[in-house]
Amino acid sequence: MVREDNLIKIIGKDGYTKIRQTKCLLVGAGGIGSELLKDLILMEFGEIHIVDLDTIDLSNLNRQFLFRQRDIKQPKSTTAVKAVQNFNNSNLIPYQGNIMDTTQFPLHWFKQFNIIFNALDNLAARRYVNKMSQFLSLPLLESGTAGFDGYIQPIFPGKTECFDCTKKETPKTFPVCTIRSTPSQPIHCVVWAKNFLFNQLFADDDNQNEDNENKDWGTTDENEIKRIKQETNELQKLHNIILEQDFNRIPFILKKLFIDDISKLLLIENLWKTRTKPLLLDESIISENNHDVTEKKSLNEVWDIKYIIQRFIAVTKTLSQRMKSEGNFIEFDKDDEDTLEFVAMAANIRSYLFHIPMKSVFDIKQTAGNIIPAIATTNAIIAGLSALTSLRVLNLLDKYAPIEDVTKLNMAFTAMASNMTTNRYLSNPQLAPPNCTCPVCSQVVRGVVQLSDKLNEATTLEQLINKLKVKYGYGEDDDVSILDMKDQRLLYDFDFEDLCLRNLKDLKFVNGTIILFSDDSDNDEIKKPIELYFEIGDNVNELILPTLNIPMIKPKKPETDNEEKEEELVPMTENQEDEDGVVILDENDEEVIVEDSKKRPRAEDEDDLIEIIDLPKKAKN
Amino acid sequence: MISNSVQLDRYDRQLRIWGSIGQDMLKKAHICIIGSNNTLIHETFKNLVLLGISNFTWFSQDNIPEEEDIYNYRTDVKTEITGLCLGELNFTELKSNQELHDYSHFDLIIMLNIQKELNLKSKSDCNLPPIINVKTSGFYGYVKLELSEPHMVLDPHNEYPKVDLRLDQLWDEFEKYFGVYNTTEMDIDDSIDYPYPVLLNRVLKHFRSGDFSTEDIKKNLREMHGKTRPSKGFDRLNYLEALRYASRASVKSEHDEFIELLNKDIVPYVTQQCHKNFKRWSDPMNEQLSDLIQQLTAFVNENGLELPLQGKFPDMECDHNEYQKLKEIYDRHRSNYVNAFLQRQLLRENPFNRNIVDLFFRSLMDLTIIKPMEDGVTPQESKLYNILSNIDFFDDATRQHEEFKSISKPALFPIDVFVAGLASQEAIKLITHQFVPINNTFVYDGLKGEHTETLRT
Repeated sequence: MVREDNLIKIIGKDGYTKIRQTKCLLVGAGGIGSELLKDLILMEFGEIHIVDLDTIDLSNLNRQFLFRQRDIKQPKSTTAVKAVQNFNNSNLIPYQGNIMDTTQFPLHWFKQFNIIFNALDNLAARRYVNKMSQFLSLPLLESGTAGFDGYIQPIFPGKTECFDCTKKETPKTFPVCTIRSTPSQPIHCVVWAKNFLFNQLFADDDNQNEDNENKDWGTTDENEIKRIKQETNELQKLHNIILEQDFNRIPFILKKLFIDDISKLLLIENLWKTRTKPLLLDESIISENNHDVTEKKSLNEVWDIKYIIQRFIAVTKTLSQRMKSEGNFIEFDKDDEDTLEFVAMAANIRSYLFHIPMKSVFDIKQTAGNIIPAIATTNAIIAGLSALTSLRVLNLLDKYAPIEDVTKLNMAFTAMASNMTTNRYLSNPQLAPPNCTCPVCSQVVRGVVQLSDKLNEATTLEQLINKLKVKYGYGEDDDVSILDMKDQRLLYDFDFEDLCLRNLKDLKFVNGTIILFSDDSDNDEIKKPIELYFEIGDNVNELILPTLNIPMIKPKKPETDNEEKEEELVPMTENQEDEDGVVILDENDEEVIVEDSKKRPRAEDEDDLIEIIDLPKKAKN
Repeated sequence: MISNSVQLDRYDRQLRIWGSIGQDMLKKAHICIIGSNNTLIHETFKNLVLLGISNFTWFSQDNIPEEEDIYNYRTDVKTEITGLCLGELNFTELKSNQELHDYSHFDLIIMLNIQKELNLKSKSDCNLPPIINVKTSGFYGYVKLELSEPHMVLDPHNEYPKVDLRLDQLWDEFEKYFGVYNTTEMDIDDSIDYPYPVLLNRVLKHFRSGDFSTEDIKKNLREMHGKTRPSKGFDRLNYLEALRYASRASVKSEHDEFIELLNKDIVPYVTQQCHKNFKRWSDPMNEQLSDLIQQLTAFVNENGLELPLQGKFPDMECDHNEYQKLKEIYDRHRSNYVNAFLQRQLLRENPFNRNIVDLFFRSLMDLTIIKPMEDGVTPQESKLYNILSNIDFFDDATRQHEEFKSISKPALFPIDVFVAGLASQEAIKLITHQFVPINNTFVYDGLKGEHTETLRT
């Protein structure tokens, strides 16, 4: 084959044999993923495992060239593998799943690979795979694109900067009270419409039977709980209007949201000392039914409020009719016209009342769907760079350019297409050594604990702590703490011993659980914290702790956080609503993660923030 | 027929970059590709077809005997490149255009690893379209833009668009709007609702024209804020915005400088290009924009006018109704300006497209023209570029050049992918006349990066 011969000419027979024996993991079969899969196959990589959670959407087809119109709604990973068969010479193994799912992809599953390619579109998964590569010391090729711009970063655990060594574009965060009570920007209204209102009406889990007594309200104030309960009941009423397809009562939804609720807000005088008071929706507009809503207006234009109200009523009706056939559960999807229109209309009505500029449906789609512009060419460029760099990472080009030190390798950024004045299309900064303050790669020692199912049930937290203390040279009375890294749940520290006698299984220890074991003593020097990955299963009959070399470190001073300076300038209300849970709007264009976390210890400054995570922008050169 | 909304959704992620103006230009573009059937070609076709381009003429260079007319060797894109199922990547039927008489009819020519000197010439009195000349070998490659006429950028998409408030060049309606705030003593508590231009305007009233600095404005703003909230910090959002944009309060001198630049440099250059060698423009957008620059400059000169409003009316932290009022004043001003300008052009043979005029005016001060290499100008030197551009003529001994011993191998697959991706990326910029193309040669060293550079060759 010509393609084989060409490759052998460059990397030699030995190199070719090596590449045929190389097993790689490709995380993501989207924009960069489609391109990388093709590249890796044509470079004759022996085995490629492709993981992707998503299904194919029409808007993917302008760049994800392995997919066709007929493939819409099919899983990306398996469809991609089918599509490449006419030029494939590699062993391809597709998975439709979430790479962060420890049941499907436990740590030891990652062990089989020689190299990992990240072709992801969201921060959470990027961070997770980065961490796995750190646990296993596997080289990782990280990449990303947005519009004309893109980057790649090779990561050698322990030797070069990891993904988390540099600060990523800080998430946009909004205090919950801004979203619920005092919006001042269009995005606040979009977040409200999409994350609160839409979910309440159309995606509400039927939790009427839930035991209200044991519910974590995020506050102990009786009045506050009463108010939240009342609000929940009221929303339940609205939900019932939807469920019962009680179309005549749709105006009641408008009245409740845009008259009654806002009237209640107006009663809290503190809120309006430095702000313009919102308007109440004019009831006559709601009942006015002579507006022609069949007339289609351009999605690119901002509609007038009367038309918006009528469209709100119409689309609410449509969605409500869809509920039954969709299991009383509709998720917001920016590509689902009805859900998009509902969110756009609700956000615009709220904007109108709060004196905020309204937006076109097209614009709201971008905000609500967290759409990152994407084109074929940038993905091809970045995948090409990533594929090329993998040859150097695997030492296949040593005879042309020997690598004495991996920090001599380069990362790559393409120049802003709009800012070519410097006339440097590509910058190739050399890799930096790990950032010694990086909480992921430098601030912890890592190891894997092996544990049998049986012992998971038979071991108490206290017993585990004692074993850890003995193994890692702690005194019996030294203060330590244990944190479950998955949800930052505190399991134990010197003044929280409630869980000591519970067994590990009870404390949700499963295969893939990661805990952080830290020295909490007041000494000038403390032991470096240990991050332990639990492999729980039938492979062993006991509890095996890894042998680790734990250095002493100076304890960290509490950090002061200056990031949210801009936000801090927003006058906070004294009367904040207390909301348990942090909403993370993923930068990913597909999904929204609403974390209903039941965190026990919560750092004060983490409370009541709604986060919108942006794509990690290019690191500053 | 594919419905318009499906088209919209399919191209949604790129429409958000270059808009329907850009997408229409891609859709209509007719591209000539010269090169033999290999990775570079496959990748280029795939990239271009995905973007929505469907009209190609392909000359497969393998077929061209020496000295013969290249037109006899057209290759059918559809039948030759089957592996990628190109037709399925795009809605429209791919056209292998056969009715072609001259190179000047194309919108763009892409030459991929051409192994001989192809001295493309136009048989008509028209300039050639832009040529993207691509070469790859071993770990190296380059993408070179060859222009026969200046490439005029319609919208460079400057990362930081100009905030143009015109507070120092008020017009009647605007003056009247501010008058309301200026006559009455500013109600302290109400000022929290004012858009920041109102605050800036109020501060500007304190100064005689020209004799103040941005620092003066900021100082005044702080004092004004102090009156509204004596005991608190500087925390009101509209005041913060006013502070941030204080430097944009006065833009007159910046505008005057640009008008001078138009008169002294840009218009003479464009006029000269129009008459050079008595050739006609190849690219209608270049022609339209160069004409537009000349007409606009004349319009400004004759009427002693200001420049059209730059950028978009920015978002502001203020009362919605106030925002709307102000925005409408600006929008009306912008649209009146364009109307007055177009009114003057009524007798033209080819009337300007209003959308193009509006878009172009908005980024006028970021005006970008990529000039062709002129005769007598020495090209910049690059060792790697020299070797790559001549490699096909080297004897074996020269090919073993010490520094680039890996150069004469066939190109490594990902090098072809990268270079074809970049060539297609530049094709987008050239066809849409949006964003700034690489000027003019990007030389890529895929092995160590040491020889990667951008230069004029």
